[in-house]
Amino acid sequence: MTGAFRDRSHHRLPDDLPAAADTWERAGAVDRAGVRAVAAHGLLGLTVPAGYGGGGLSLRESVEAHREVAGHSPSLQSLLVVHGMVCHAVRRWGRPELREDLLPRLARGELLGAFALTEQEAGSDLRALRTRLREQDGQLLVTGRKRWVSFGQLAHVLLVFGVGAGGGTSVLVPVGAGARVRPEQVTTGLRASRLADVTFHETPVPPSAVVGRPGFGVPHVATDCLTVGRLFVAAAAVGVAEAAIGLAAAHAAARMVGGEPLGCRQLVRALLAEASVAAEAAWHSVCSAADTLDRADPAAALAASRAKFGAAQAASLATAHASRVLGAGGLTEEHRLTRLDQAARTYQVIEGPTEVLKDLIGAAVVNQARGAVPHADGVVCAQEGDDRARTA
Amino acid sequence: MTDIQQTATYDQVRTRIREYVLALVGLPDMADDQPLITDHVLDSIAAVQMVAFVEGAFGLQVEDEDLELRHFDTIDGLVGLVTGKLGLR
Ligand SMILES: Cc1cc2nc3c(=O)[nH]c(=O)nc-3n(C[C@H](O)[C@H](O)[C@H](O)COP(=O)(O)OP(=O)(O)OC[C@H]3O[C@@H](n4cnc5c(N)ncnc54)[C@H](O)[C@@H]3O)c2cc1C
Repeated sequence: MTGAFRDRSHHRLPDDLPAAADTWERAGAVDRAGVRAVAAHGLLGLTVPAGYGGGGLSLRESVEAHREVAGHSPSLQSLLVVHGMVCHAVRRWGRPELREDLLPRLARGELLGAFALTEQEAGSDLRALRTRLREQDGQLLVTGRKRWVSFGQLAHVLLVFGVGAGGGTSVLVPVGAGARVRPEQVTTGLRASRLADVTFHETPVPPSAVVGRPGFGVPHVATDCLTVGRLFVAAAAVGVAEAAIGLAAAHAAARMVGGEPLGCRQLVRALLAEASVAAEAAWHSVCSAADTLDRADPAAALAASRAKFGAAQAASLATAHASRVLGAGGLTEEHRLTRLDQAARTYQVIEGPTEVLKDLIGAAVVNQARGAVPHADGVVCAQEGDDRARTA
Repeated sequence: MTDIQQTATYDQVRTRIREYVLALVGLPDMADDQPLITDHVLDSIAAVQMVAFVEGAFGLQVEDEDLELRHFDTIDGLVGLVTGKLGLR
């Protein structure tokens, strides 16, 4: 599974990534040394323009890296997702002074960024955000609590979404004295991703730290970031699916049952066939979504949602099938398949739960027909006003 | 689509924007001052698509300072933003 990515010599994965991933998973934590190692390999600035010290890769090129990293360490890949979303937001919507100041440091990994959208009462429903931004003496004061912030335990800046005088707003908040950071309980999937529960109380930030204009953080900046995030998670889900298929295929080739390899059994072959076709299809949809994003095609947000939905399904199918092929060995807690299996389950929830994405995608399909049907004028589903605000 | 940028008239811009927004909303007709975002006529993904559409269709760069709700909440707002940036007013 050496993609185009590995051939781009200036962005190689650390050689000891597989071993390091095992250590992180056992410890339930990617450590700072691990973060420094991936930063040294340029993985934290993949898509940041070269002028800011990044790798200058297109999204189409960068998804190769996400796919490959996730096959070893889904937890580490989630750092590339959240840090990548912050880089994207600063580059696309940050004021020039913010860009000049932060992008080079983010690209080098000197500054780690994390994405703080979810709250206790606001997961997939963005309209329920309770974090408040209040202006006072030329500053913004941030008050609220964010849950499940991936790598929030290590991050230096958080992209926080809240509500201010101008409406939904996103702002970069340094993690310092004004923020209380507590580790979340370790989750089964992405267990080493250093999740944090972060509380702000009147934490001051300068107005230049607002990313996008007040009123545009939600939904614009949030949805724009989530679009990129969905693409990265979709690529990761393909990496997870492929890694699971790799483990299952190796076992099927080596394990003898009734005098012949397991892989001679048709039912076992069927499991591998279903999984590998699903993974391949998902990868094509990831690549095509990446192309639409690189072209800034208006259809990109929908394409990324479609790719993420499909890839998460493929990862779940592939890991479930691999689990059957691997038998008891694959069910042990420290087996690599267990990590992949739990990551697949997590991908069905994060960056747009599967049900929310199906709803969005299905609505777009219906909408297209509605526009073409004259007598459908004014047809609005009862729950529409509600559903349309959901994106996360 | 740079031909549009070079030769577009105010009316052509409005027509193009109306067509795009109506297709996005999935309705045959709608008032030009109907709030799209604040009335939740558009979902959040569609709201983001509008930024990409404006940039792609008219060869413009939407800057941080353009990001004001009044520019994106209605067809009128979008027409104002685009014609302003194209110098058609
Ligand atoms: C490992 C991990 C890492 C995470 N990292 C981050 C992070 O870095 N930053 C961040 O902000 N958040 C993060 N999250 C939070 C994640 O984004 C949320 O869990 C997700 O948005 C879902 O929100 P929720 O958990 O509150 O579930 P809810 O919103 O309560 O939804 C629960 C379930 O209800 C169903 N559902 C919800 N809405 C609808 C609907 N409209 N239609 C149909 N069904 C629906 C879905 O099945 C969904 O899975 C992380 C979560 C995990 C597990």
